[in-house]
Amino acid sequence: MIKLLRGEFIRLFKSKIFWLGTIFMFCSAAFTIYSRWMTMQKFPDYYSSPDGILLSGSEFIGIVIAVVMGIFIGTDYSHGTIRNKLVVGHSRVKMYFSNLIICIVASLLMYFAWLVAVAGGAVLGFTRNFEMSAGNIAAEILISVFASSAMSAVFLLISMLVTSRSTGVVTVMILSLVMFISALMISARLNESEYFDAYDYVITDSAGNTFEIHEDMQKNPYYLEGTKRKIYEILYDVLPNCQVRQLAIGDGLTDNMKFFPLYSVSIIIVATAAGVLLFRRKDLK
Amino acid sequence: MDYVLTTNSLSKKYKHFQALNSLTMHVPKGAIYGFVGKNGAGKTTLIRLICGLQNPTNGDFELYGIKNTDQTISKSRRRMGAVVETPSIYLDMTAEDNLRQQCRFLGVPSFDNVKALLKLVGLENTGKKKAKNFSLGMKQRLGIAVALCGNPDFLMLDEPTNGLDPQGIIDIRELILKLNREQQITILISSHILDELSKLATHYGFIDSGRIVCEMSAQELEAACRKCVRMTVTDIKALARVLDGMNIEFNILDDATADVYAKPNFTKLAMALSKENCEVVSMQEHGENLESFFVNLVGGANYD
Repeated sequence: MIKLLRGEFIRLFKSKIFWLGTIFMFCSAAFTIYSRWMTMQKFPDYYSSPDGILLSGSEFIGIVIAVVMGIFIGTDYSHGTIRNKLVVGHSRVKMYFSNLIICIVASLLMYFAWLVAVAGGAVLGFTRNFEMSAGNIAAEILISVFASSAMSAVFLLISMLVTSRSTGVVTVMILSLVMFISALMISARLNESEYFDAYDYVITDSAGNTFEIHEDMQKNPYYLEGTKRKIYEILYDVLPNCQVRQLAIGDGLTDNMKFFPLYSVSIIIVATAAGVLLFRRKDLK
Repeated sequence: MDYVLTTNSLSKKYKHFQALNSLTMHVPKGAIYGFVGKNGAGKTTLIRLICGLQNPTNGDFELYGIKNTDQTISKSRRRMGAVVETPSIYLDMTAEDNLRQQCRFLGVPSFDNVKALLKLVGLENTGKKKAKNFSLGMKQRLGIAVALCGNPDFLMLDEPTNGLDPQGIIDIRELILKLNREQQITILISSHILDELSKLATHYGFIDSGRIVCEMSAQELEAACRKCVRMTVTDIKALARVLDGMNIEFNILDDATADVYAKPNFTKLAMALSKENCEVVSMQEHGENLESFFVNLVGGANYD
């Protein structure tokens, strides 16, 4: 497998799409920092902490991983070069695992490009100081790393099973968007307040008569309860996109987050086991 | 005889289509094995199975004496190279980078052989030109060079001359002969261009509907292809009478031409015809070629 890894890493570092993805992540972070800094210049009271920006990168890294890895892995099929590895005796299991390692490392490098840009912006004074402790930041980054690795494992599963590069790329892109939007929707539903606030207001009609109206607190129909809420909460904790959503909008580490890496590792194991099983049986052309 | 590859009742079924049907074949060591068959006969399927791209539904094969079900088959595969259908090359890399990449996958410690391989296939002057800008012939030769990276003893080429211009076909033919003669590489080559194949192959395997119909050496094929003399005369009936009288086998093609399957004394034959007032307009040696042999073997009506 070392031979495969050596070859694939060199191909990765020569790959334009990988560098485009990395530069895109870096520039996106730099642009976010810069736009916040511009706002701070106009409105001195505006408070911009780099904590949220630092962690929000992992929110849409999934879409970037999907494009980059879909093209990178799909090239092996579209150029037929996957055959070169099989013909000379590399086992399918080793090929799958080497691709998994490549995908995870590539996704982390692209994510680190985001982190470097944010950290650089903070050091250069484009943001205010970090609010969280270094330990907490490290822990949250670690959770993001596991989550993006889980996303990579899922996208690899599809990329290795769909032999058409264009179909594979489109499929993983759609999946990444579905995962991204699902995380936003689940987050929005779970953050719905249970009741609409009570309020009083006064109406004056054309004759000058005034009416005082009082409305009690009202139950929010979108508030999730019971089993449905439980299911949403489980998905919110288990799905990698939901995990990074929680990190990006949250105020630091919470108790449930300590299980996030465990969930991500479980997703990696399940996706990889399914991928290896199906890829071993797959007829290649 | 030592065999590089033997298949034993190898079968492959795709849903409802039986691509290989108990195929048994033997590729002798040092041979250029011409693998001949119609489109859809199962040639590429067999090559895919041997390369490990697909698994057989039934049966097995041995590569250098190791069965495909054996865990050590990967060691045997390291002794082979293949170009299956289209050349397997990274189009966004140069020829040299493609070979270096394959060397890395093989774990070849140095790239010393890369320049020699490029020279062998005539791509030593391609410089920084990306493979996507190569002609089809150049891509095909690069594909062969990639397959040669691990110094294989056995090379499988699936229709390597498909789509090539005449010069490209000659280049590939010379390369194959060079590899076989100078490096003693056993080569299995499937091709539709039977005339081209007949210039290369030392052994033949004829496949039809997923089965090997016939396996033979080039010498055996030559013996099987009947030589004849094609005669054009002014009176075909007279020719028939004379040949019958001389007890010579013949076949009338039209009202002036016949194939004579023997080497009679032509002076006597001409004199006998003269007595019948029949003149010999032309005589030329005619032999059945690989194409007509194949058509007779598998049925020309279905040939596509």
